[in-house]
Amino acid sequence: MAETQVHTEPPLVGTASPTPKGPKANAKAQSEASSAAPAAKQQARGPSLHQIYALPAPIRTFPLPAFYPNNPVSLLHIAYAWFGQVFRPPPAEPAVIHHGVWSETTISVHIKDEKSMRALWEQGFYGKGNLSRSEPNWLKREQVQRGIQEAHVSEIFTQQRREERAQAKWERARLEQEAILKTKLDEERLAASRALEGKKAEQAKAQKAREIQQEAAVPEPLPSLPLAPVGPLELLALPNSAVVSLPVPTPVPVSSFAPPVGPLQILALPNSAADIVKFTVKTALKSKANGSLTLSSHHGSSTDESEEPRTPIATDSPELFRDDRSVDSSSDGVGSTELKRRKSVRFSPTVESATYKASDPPSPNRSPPVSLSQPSQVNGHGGSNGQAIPQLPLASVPVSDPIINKEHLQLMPEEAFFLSFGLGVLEVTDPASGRVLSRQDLFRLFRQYSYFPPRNGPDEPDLEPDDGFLVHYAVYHHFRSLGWVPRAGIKFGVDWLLYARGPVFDHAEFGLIVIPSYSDEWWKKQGRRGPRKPWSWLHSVVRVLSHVTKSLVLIYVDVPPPHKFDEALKTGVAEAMKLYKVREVMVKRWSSNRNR
Amino acid sequence: MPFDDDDSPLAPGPVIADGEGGAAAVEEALEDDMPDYKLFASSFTKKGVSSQTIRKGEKDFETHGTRAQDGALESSRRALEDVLGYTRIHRGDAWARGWCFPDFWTDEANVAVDYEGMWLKDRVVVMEHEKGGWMKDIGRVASGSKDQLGVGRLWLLPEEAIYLVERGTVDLWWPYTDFETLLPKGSTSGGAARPGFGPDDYDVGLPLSLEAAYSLFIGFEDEQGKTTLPKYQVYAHLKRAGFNILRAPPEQPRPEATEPSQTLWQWLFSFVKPEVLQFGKQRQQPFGPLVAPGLYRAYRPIYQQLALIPRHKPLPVPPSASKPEDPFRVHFHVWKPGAGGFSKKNPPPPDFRIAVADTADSCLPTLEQIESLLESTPYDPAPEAWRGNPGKLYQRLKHGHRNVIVAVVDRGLVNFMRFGEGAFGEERLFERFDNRNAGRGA
Repeated sequence: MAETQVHTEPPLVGTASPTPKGPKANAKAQSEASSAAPAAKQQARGPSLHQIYALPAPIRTFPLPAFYPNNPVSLLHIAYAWFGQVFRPPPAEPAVIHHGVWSETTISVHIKDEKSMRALWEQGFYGKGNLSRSEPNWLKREQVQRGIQEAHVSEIFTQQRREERAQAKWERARLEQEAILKTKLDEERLAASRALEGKKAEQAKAQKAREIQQEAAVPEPLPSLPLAPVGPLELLALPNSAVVSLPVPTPVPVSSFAPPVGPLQILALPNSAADIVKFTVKTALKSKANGSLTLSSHHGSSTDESEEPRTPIATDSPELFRDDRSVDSSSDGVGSTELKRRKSVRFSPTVESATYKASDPPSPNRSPPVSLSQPSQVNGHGGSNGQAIPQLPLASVPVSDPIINKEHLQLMPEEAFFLSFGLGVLEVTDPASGRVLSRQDLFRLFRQYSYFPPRNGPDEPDLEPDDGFLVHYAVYHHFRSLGWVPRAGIKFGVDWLLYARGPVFDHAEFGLIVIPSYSDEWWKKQGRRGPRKPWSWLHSVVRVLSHVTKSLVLIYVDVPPPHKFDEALKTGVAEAMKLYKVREVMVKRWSSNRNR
Repeated sequence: MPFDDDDSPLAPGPVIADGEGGAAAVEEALEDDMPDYKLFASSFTKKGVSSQTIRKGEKDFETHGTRAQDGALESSRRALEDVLGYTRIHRGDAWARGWCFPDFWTDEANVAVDYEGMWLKDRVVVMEHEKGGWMKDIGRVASGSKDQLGVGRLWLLPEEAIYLVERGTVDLWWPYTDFETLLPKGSTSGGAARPGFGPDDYDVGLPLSLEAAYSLFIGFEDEQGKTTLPKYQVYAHLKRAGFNILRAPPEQPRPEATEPSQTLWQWLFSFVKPEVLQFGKQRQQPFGPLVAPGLYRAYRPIYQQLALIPRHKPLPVPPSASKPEDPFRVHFHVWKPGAGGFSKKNPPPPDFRIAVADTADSCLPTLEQIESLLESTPYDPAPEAWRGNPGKLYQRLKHGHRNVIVAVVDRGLVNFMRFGEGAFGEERLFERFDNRNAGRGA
């Protein structure tokens, strides 16, 4: 394994050379990477999900083979299996007891043994990898990132998908802007041509008058007339008489002023003749230096005004419309910078200005141009292409180091207690003393730490039957004992998410919110009431959940009064837990419009 | 792979498999805060405004300087103006007058048949003319002996009266003379206005404004002849949406839950101690583990040992009978508009039962409140066809065994929440574990 590692790494180093690429190149690389990805995944197909997650609980069963009445051999089969189990009985289940360590700082139980981690995850979806989203797959992820392994890692997959999505959004916004620009141009062109016709007619009239005038004067052939004047400046510059018409300056630079349309163009208009002169000199110099725009081409394009006004503005106010990337990469065509000048993303949640400053990069990821050379992975923004992901760790991690799994599985108190008290497949040790905690100790510990600050000192008030652990454990046990898979739901603003089979197989259909309830007379005398949640709270929860196509279930947990609870606790945790009542209320928004 | 819960399934992009979710969300967002001017505008086609001009999809909130967009916005603005500037005309032959007699039925002298759901003492407006098609679910005719005043006429509840005045259907008048002069016994109610009692004869009464109707008929909870503002708002909201809606009759005292008669077999078994039957439970350790170590041939016995928390079992006749209290009490019965055969006299079982809560003075119901509210509605489990079908698991659970709708009124804005009696205890997923592996290979 170590050898292959060495072999696979060097080419990647080569690609990691920090040459900043143009955005187009990046996008291309990404699309290639994404198109290559499915093919690679097809190859690395391991055992199927149903094989990996075959056990619904960390307890094995030994079912006897089925008996088929029409097949007498099946009876022999059964007998064989039965005798085999009688004479060489399989170890009593649960055969494996996993070991966990109580962690006071995180109020959770840590599983550090790799086999136990996998087992608890695969057999009922318990716990969460502390370096992963849920499945403890940090090691695998790391290996994939270093190119050692070709496998499906959901976190990487998600990141890729997010980037694709961002790209798609960007593309959509670009198309939208292009469409708007196009209609705008069409409309401008239409307006301009209309104005042109009107002016031509006017000019023809004026010229007739002039000709009549000139017939009286010296009949001298006129120098070639400038093109039809369109803009206001040109109109102003029109000769009023034959005498003035002779020293007409070359109209070429002036014609670069199209009729000012936008507010910026109006602002950028020269205020005095001196400005014009300065400006014409500057543009002339610039166009010379550029070499691409010759005077004649300028001249010829005077009818096509729509594109023109931008040039002077861009040079006059470098703060606006400057595209840094296009400066860096000479390969970028003018066309693409034209498109990227005015950006306004309509679906953005934050208000953004429609124009960009010089410091804004043109890439959708909005990272400063500098960071392109040093991919920053942490925030998930840097790797705008698929290749950036494997590039990251190379600089810091020596190539031949074997990767040590730095991840552990963390179990919530409810999960740990269910595994220990319900199934009996977990032992929890106290790191301070190294002793294995008994189930009673564990029960007390979890109850103590469900308060803040923890009620574990001698002066702290007594534990109550409505502490967070008990109420939530009642719910957790209720659903686990029915075969459902509850998992922490804070990501969606609920207490628990409820999976029918587990996060690998299906999305959680329900979000649970636990509401302690005090219907016993004793509580009423005490004046204890459940949380008084406003309606707006309920609506917001339902709204958030419906956005992720889940539905809300309110779980009312009826809490027994302390005297009954303490009495029952003396006979055992099981008796005490039987006093809790769990009621589910399904909540859904009802719309009068859609129920007609 | 459907693993990723972080991702919003509605996010646009290549991931959208079914556009249904996204479309539903958009529709939901729109239906809440945008009046449907498109519908209104379609009746103005003669003015050259087509319903297409009002865009209901994308919102144009930012001008991007094209003339096409300006044009679209302008035409939609004009359509809205046309809708708002519409002149309402009252035709003389459709004129219907209602007389305000708030204390008529509380007076001992006036007798008519009163029964559950008639709400006779709350009926405060009597109609002089009965014209139009609005009487399908509005008003009730007082029945009784023909010699009695007010009998044989259509009487309105306060919310019905305000709604009709608001619509402009009914001209509400305050009487200056007594009932007998205005509405003599046995006179026909559908005919033309009698001389001296026309729309301009102000010596027999005074026409009331909409404001007056509100102040006369909006009151506090349980005030006779009045309704509360939130309740009226819910009523008007549903009426405008086209529903048939009646006040729910007061709760009948529930029949005592009779013990189901025991069969001989059950009687014999009652002698056997339950512990003997559940010998698995006997081995249960008080401090765990609940699952006794040993050899298991199936998951069912494992999960049976794990059963600890009492599971809710929905019953057709609930055992406890606690009376629902305001605001968590069914106040309206609602029928879908399309359903045929609706009669206000003998209404079929309602499609929806609605309680009305105001955000100002109520919050999320407590367990007892929601329990008694749900128990006041009939047992309504998921359809038979869904039962035992694993593909209908979620639908079954979401449907619940009883259901009720709470209209939440926030300063005039009406929102509805449906509460269902869930029973996850009826869905024992562990029962599928044992044939999971067998069925998978096939």
